[in-house]
Amino acid sequence: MGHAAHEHYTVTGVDNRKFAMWTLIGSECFLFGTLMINYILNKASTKINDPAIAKYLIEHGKKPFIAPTDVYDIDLTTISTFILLMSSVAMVLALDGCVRKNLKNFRLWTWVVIVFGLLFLGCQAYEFNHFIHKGLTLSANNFGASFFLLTGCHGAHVAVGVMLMGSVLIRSYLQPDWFDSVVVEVLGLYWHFVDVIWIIIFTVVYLLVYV
Amino acid sequence: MASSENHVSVKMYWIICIVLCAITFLEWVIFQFESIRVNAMIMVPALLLMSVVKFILVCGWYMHLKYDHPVLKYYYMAAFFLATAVMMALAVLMG
Repeated sequence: MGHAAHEHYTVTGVDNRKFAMWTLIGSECFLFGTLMINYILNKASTKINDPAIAKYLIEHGKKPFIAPTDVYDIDLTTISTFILLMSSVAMVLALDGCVRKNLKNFRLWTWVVIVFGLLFLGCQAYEFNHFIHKGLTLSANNFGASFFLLTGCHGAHVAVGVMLMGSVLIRSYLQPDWFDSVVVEVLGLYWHFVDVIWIIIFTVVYLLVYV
Repeated sequence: MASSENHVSVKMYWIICIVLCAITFLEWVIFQFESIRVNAMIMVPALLLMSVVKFILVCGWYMHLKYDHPVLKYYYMAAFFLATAVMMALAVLMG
């Protein structure tokens, strides 16, 4: 099997790049943990703060409150979850292609990761647009603020992941003999972590509010 | 030093993918039944258990924690549990 291009001595016996990514993932647990708690504590705070949105809702015969169950579309969110899960399997297959030095497979599955990542972002954009049209904005109420902060932060992480995968794909075209599987594995760790966060968000943010 | 050797077969990756999709589908299915959806005694443990299973499958097999150097597993678990403790502290202080 392939070895890293430059092997350095490390105290732990683990490649420093992998260790660094796991350190990042550990810090991201704190970030998303606090954002999630912020959401949990504010999801019941549904009274509209923005006078313009409140007026709009009242004029249309609705009360000036927007709750999660008023806006969520679980069918769309489930599809987004499937898309991200499929991108995760594509990521491990891309790594497998890199390890086996199979350029065709590596490029194919990297493309799949990028396409599925963009599809997920497209679904998020559609969902956010739908919510805004229903009156739920970042400033509408505390629920809106905490929801958009959490899911927006996750979406930004997906976007960064797509860009990183894009850079790896470009490198594979510019340098077809490049097969540094540690780099691809490290990117894979980032991508899978983003998927794991969405798994938790899907349950805590979307499904459990209906209970 | 450990390199990126592939400990998991492609077939295993696909099996885990099918399991993850099946669990997600199951979550959607039980959500469709209103009588179950509003029952916290069933929904909360069921959804949390399904999330935990998905979390373990992705972390263990896709992120290779099961096959990698043990220091990574303990490193991540320490960060995860510390983050969880911070979340609980925030919930108590702000809730």
